[in-house]
Amino acid sequence: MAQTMIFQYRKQDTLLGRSNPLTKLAIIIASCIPLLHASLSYSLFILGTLLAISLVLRIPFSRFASQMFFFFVIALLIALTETGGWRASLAATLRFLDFILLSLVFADTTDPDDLARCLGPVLDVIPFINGYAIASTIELTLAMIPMVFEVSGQVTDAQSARLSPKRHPVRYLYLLTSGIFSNLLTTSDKFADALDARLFDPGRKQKGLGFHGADAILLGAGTLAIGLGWIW
Amino acid sequence: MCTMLSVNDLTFSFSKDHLLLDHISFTLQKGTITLLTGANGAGKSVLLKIIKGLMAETGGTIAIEGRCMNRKERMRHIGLVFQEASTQIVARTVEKDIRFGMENMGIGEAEQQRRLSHLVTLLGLTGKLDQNPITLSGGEARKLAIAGVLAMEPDILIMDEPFANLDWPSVKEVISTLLTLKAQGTTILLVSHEVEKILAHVDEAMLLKNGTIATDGKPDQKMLELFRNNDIFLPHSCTVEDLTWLKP
Repeated sequence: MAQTMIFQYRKQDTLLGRSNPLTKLAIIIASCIPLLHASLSYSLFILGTLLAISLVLRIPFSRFASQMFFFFVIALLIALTETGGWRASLAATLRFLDFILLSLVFADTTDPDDLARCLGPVLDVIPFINGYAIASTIELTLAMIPMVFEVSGQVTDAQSARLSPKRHPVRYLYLLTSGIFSNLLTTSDKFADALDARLFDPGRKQKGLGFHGADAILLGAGTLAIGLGWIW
Repeated sequence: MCTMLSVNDLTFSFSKDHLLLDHISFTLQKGTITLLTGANGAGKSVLLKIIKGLMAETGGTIAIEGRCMNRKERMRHIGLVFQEASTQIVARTVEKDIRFGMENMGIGEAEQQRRLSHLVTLLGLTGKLDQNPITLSGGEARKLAIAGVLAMEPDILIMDEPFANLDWPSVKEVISTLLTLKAQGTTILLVSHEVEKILAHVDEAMLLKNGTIATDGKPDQKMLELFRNNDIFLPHSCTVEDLTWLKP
């Protein structure tokens, strides 16, 4: 059995799982605006809410530990480099964690294929662009994120197993990145063959998904959370 | 029995001075299983990709049921199961992955549902439709890859190293699936160097050597000796009948 990958969709019968991807995307985009300049307390509130949602969704954080390490390093860098006192530093770190958790919840509950189906007809309204092709590009990009983590994990394990010289950080980083890049190209090539072999056409018109009661509940809750951000 | 696939004078090269596939010709009969074997680097996987249409041939023709077809046409008529099943799986649930090819072909919902139900029963994937494919075992992932290809109802099913990375029960499951498909009239071309696992069940076998078909025909003792002399592993002094020990 393969290792569970971060940013990977898991089909679950939950409110978020049943909601239309467009509703979730709209809430994410709208929530980014107040989150960008959110206060410490609001960032903490959002983090708590998202953690509660993650618990309900049973996102397997323990299995993501090694894959999350990268984000913890970035969070630490943000905390150390942010000027303006400990409150500003903590708020900036929490904001970053909010964004990561928001993406995790979105990826866990949204099939990239469903997102493409819903985005295609919306984007296709814009003149001079093929909305379906752009939606397919977004779908493939999202589908490739777990692949990047998987390949990175494999290369890191392979190099650690052969005692890659960590005491020479530049050489270690060079070996690591070149290994990841080369493996990623090979994997992408196979992925492209798999899509071709099954007649994948990025510009193919697809029927979007409908909206349900779950979307109304989510929209209400999302609007409330975003509204609080403006007031807070 | 009629000819399903006809490969005529096929050539392929990566460089001008060396032909990887050197004027290859062979045919596959409808409803049969054919094994293509050869040492590593013989060009087996390249040959498969060319037949499927994923790579362009340098010369020669490929015909299906007597009609010469270009790459694009072959894509619709030939199904290829990759060596690493996991690289072939593109969707986030088993059901969506089986439907993927059918949707790309523009097949209607009712027909999609019919094929889906038939395939999950045939391949024993019932109860796994909502699962993420990464949670499947190696044997189940191989079955899903086969289901995704068969859903497109290809005239010919090609499998590249169907037993690679599979444990014993999974190998038996794959052989069982192949025999079921054959009984239903599917034409199958297998590429494998694990000859001992499948030879007793195939109708024809071919050896690819130095870019040419060194031998082809019904497996017999003479062919077994030729395989052994060309670094294809077979248990010492066994006959084709001896290999029927692997009954699924």
